[in-house]
Amino acid sequence: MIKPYYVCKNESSFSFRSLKELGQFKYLLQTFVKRDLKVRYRYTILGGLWNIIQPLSMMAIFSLVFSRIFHVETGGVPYPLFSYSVLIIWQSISRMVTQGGSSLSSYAYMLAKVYFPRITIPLSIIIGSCIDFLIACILLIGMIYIYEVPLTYSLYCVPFILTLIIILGAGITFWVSALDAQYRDVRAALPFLMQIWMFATPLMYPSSLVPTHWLWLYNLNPLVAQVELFRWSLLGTPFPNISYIAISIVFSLILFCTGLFYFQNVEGTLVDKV
Amino acid sequence: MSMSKNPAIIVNQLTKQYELGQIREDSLKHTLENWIRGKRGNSDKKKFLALDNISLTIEQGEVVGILGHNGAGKSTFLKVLARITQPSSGYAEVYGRVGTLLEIGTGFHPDLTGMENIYLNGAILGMKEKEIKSKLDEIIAFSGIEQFIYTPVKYYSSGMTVRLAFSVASHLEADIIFLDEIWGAGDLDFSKKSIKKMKEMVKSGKTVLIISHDLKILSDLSTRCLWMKKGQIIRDGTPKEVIYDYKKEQNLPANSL
Repeated sequence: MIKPYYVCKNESSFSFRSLKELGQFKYLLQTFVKRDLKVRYRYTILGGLWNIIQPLSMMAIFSLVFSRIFHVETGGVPYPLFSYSVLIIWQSISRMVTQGGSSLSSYAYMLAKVYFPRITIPLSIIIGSCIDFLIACILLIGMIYIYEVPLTYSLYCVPFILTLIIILGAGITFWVSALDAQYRDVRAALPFLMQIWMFATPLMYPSSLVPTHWLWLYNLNPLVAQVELFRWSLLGTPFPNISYIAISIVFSLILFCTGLFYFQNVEGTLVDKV
Repeated sequence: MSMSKNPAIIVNQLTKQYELGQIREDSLKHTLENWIRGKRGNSDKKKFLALDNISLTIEQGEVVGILGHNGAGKSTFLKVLARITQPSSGYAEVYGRVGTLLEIGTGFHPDLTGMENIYLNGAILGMKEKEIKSKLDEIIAFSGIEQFIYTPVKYYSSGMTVRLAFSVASHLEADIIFLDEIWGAGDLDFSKKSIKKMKEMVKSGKTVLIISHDLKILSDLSTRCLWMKKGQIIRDGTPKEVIYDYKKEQNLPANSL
């Protein structure tokens, strides 16, 4: 007896069907990524420049407030560099979560008509956000050159740190997109939660500003240690506490795995709800 | 039917249950309330069987017409077979690539041009770029909308959309094709053209499942007919027999088509 091309049945969360099928749908994923980038770059006048303008203007405002008015101590690192280097990370994470989170509903009419692994949709936004980050990095490299930052061997850690950040971002995106498809409340709460998350991350101030007895709570945010690590590897700011790094890694992995499971769990009957 | 004895689709005890009120009414509040009251089993929700324990085998090369009243489960049946939604229990094995044309619009992305959508649909079918390219000219020519192929699909009329959708679905490399009420929006000319194309597809050995309220189309094209009622298949036989019985129930004159 020949093997069936596919079987329609009630899949368990552990079958990972759509992940197994990703190889087969590689070209579709590519098409989705291209489409995402095209819609944002082709149909806007400034195109890719938006990737730089947004963190740049945030940097300018924060420079004024934190550096000029409050004289925040950044350990000798020029404030524009101090903030821009991690604001571009935040920008990509925030786009990943907010746009990736609502991506299933924006493809609802396609979901109702044809089958393809549903995970390709949030995945394409995750990949697109990473490409945005690379574009925004061009200016960062320029700034590092202009400010004559001495680079050290810690630079080799950058790929690992970025991978960890992507794992965290992807995990949250899977969670949000699966929840958003089922509950209208998510869309209402998300912008506000993202704002809290932004202020609870040392983007425009150093974490040394946080009172010592609150640090344990502060570091439950896995992005804190990741952002500090990124700054350490590029700009030579102090190395974060090793136990906070451990927390950050564990939380990121937990979020990623549970997010993936939950997404698998709901993707089969998504159409009945979107 | 004696042409080949390989199965195209094997359906075994396929059941799809919807909870009434599930669609678009889920709120976080509702779920939380149920959790707090300790009844995740949604005991207060009414259940509705869209597909009720369906079993059957469809051979390769069969053209199966599905008829029945609205809400009989016809569209749900094709949606489950196309993997658009999962069944609640039971399973169906599908032996081949499936191309779908479910109601108007298909899997087109409104912001993308007709051309880009052809590629997107090919990719969804699991085809490679090269394979799609080789079919491109044929698809565009058949659709008859050459001059709009670089226009975003959202500016298309419903007739144009159906033309392109049918053209894509019938030319891409699918072994099994699902069609759900596609003859509503196209003009008469294109209807004739598409029925002719369907007959060619049937001759080339493709398996086709068609939902239509147009009994003439069903009797012209199908080699087998299923009559669905309340999520079950209540008749399965030659188009002549099934359509005859269906008309009798509806008090239609038996010789009218």
